[in-house]
Amino acid sequence: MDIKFENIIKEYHPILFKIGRLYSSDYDYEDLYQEMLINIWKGFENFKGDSKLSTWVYRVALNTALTFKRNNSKHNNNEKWVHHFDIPDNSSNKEKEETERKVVRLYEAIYKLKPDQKAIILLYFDKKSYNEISEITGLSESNIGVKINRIKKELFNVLSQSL
Amino acid sequence: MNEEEIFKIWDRSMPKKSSLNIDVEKIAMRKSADLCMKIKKNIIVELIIAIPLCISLPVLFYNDGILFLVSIVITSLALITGSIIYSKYLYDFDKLNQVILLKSIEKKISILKRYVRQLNFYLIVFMPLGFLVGIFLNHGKSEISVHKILKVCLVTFPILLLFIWFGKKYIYQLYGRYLEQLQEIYSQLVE
Repeated sequence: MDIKFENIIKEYHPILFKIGRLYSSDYDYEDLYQEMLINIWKGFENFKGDSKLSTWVYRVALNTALTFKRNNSKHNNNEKWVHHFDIPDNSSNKEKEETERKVVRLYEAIYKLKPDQKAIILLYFDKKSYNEISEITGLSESNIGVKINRIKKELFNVLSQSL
Repeated sequence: MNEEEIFKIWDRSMPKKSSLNIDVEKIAMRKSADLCMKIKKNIIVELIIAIPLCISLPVLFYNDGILFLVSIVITSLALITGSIIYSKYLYDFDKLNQVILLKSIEKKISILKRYVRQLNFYLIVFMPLGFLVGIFLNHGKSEISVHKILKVCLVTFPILLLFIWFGKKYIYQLYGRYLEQLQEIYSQLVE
């Protein structure tokens, strides 16, 4: 069980990391990340394989993040934690800096969205099909389509303002 | 930034391996900070206290044949129905984060609403009742006159109101605000 769990966390760490960054401030990122791990650990015993493992992990992680009791007093400082990203090294320093700047801008823009919008756009960027997003959120596929279009508009709006 | 570029940046924003730190033993030992899990623990504690109280009820009527039988039947029925309801209710807590987002938030809202209602009920019904019982027990040996009751009520009533007001504020800080947050997220999801 321990090894299986460790392997799952290793495999899904990028997802948990991204969800953690988008739903918490610098101050409570660790708490949210740990809470997601606890819920995956506790739920893993009951996981019967009714759905894909990735779908199940997304469900547990997003449920935890969406209903996480936040500390509103601290704000997210994206520039401070950009060094946690593994930006490929084969690019030149200038390119790397440019990519880092874009990562910060993108994450700041998503961070400003409403909690439900973050969940949907995150799944969309992770290339989940409408059917999979529906299996995770419980929303109908047509509703997801409408929401994604609306969120994309809002996101582009925020990104253009931050230029 | 166009959509294609956003996808590229998103895919490149992978975390460093050094940011992965799993200590399974620690995780298994750590308690969840989830408010619903805390409510689950509170319910278990309440049950642990309530069960011996229920069982001790027939003992009070040990010498009275009919009342003893009636109390045994009532206690047994209460224990059986209680265990059926609560085992299902507590089992649902463990599944809270594994179901679809909409259902999970809906369930958390209903748990919190129910718990806040229960706490408010304790505060508004049990506390004044406890106050009154305390006052009358204190005056047990002296004569109780209407004048005396009015005097006591005049002093205790504002204190009681203050207690209830503070109690409600405390419940709101602990659960109410979080409940509102969840309700907002739920309405945003379904809109």
